[in-house]
Amino acid sequence: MIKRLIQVIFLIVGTGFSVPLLMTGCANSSNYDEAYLRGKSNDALRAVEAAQAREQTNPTEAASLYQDVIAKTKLKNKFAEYQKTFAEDLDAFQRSQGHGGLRDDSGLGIPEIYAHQIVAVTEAELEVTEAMAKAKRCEFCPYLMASSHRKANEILETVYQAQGNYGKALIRKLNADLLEDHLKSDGGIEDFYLEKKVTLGEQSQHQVAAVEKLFESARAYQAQQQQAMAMAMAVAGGLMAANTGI
Amino acid sequence: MNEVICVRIHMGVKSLIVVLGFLLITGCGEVPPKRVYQPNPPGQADKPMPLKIAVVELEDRSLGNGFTNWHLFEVFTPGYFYRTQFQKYHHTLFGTCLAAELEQSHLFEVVDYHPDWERVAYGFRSYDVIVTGRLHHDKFERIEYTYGLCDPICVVVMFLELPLEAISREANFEVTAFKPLEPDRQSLTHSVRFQDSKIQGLYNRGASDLNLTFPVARYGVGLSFREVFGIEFCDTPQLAAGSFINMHVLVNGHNVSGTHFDTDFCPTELLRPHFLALKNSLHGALMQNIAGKDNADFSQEKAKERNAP
Repeated sequence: MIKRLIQVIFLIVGTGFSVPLLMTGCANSSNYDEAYLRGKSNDALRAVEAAQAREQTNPTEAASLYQDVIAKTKLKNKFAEYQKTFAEDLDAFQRSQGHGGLRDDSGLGIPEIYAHQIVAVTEAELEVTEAMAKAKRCEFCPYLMASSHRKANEILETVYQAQGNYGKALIRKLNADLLEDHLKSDGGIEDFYLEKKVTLGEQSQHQVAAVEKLFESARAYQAQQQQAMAMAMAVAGGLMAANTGI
Repeated sequence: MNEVICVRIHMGVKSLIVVLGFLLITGCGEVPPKRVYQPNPPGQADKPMPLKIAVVELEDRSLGNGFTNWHLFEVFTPGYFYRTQFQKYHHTLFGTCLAAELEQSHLFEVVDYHPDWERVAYGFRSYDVIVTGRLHHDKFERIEYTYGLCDPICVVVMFLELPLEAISREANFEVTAFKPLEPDRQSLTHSVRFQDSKIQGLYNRGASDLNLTFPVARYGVGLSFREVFGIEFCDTPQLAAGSFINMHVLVNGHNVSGTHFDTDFCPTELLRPHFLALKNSLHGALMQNIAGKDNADFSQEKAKERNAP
């Protein structure tokens, strides 16, 4: 009798286990979620930092790391276009009940991620004028723009000085000084906080949270389906055992 | 007579199914208390420095490789010696824990915590110091040893005092402090790096700080027959039959509802020494800054600045 009872319990639990077991194996794998989107832009920044650390000791390796960053970073469109793509992808993902996914560059519609990519390519760019042009693409990054322009002007000053173009070197020096003064002024400080507000403020963080929430709800939906199926199977198994066995 | 016994047994089995079903749905029902960072006890400072500090949540600079988890099929497949569950990406809000530490220290007059830069961007002039930083790395890992046996047989291993699981946690972040009007000049940079791991079996299952900050271990999400039918049945809330339900939610690899995590992920024992050093460094750096000024004058000056439009 007890043996039978144990058999029934094992059958119920066993069925409850085996169905989700099979289903989890077939579950959708996660695609570009918030962790991926943010992490990808962080990867580029980390690569730039690693290259900067190697600049003195191994300039060849540093140059190759910089080139890798530029090659991997896609910044073909303007921020507004990426924002549109991001909104469309979110909408499509929502409608697909989690079966669809975001595109690889969807994250560029989030200010924090876009700004990180801009910082990475600006720092990685070997051509000074090109770096200035890239920094300019971040329309909500006035502080980044001013500080990268100051840096570029300082480099150009050194280059012109070495070439013997003293007039041009002086102009670059004046530009760099002007930008330095601006960064330290009230306006420059306001710019710093404005940039922080856009890239790491409530709205940007909400966008990252929105992706996270969407993925969570999609996973919850899929998990619920699996649970319902597992419960039904467990109950059916139990009833079957009860009716036939005892 | 036999028929009556048979009917009674039948009824008994049906009741058992109902009870079991109820357990499956509800679990053990208890809600455990939230485990949060416990700051160091305050020091012997006479009175707090007249400073208003804003702690802004650390910027997430970690690698976002996503959540990797084990597959359930491994539980029942012979030949698996261990299975790993790890979370490469997690944005622990260390800023909240740091703010709690600074507030509890009573070293500073005001300590405000901000989850993002929104409010600080508008009101930065009202603060004397902004404390923020970058989170570089945050990882949880759990390994369950199966010794090449599929899970129902693995129960035997449990009684042999062999390690059943290993839990580890590591994080690396950098805290910086600067004056609001000199955002490019950092007054303090302090790196925090901690790492800890713990191996445990049936007989050495003491609750550790590490254990309690590891959500999966706490909830027994990687549920096996051992946990369901072993002595741990309903030992901790959610660890019993109810975990069948939670299991899916998390084993699929993701924390689908925030309610499952009852911790702030700041391991008190591991963080305390770091935060103590950080707090002292910050206090020292700020003391140096205002050393030349008389404390009372400094307070008046600060009050004027804060009231300025």
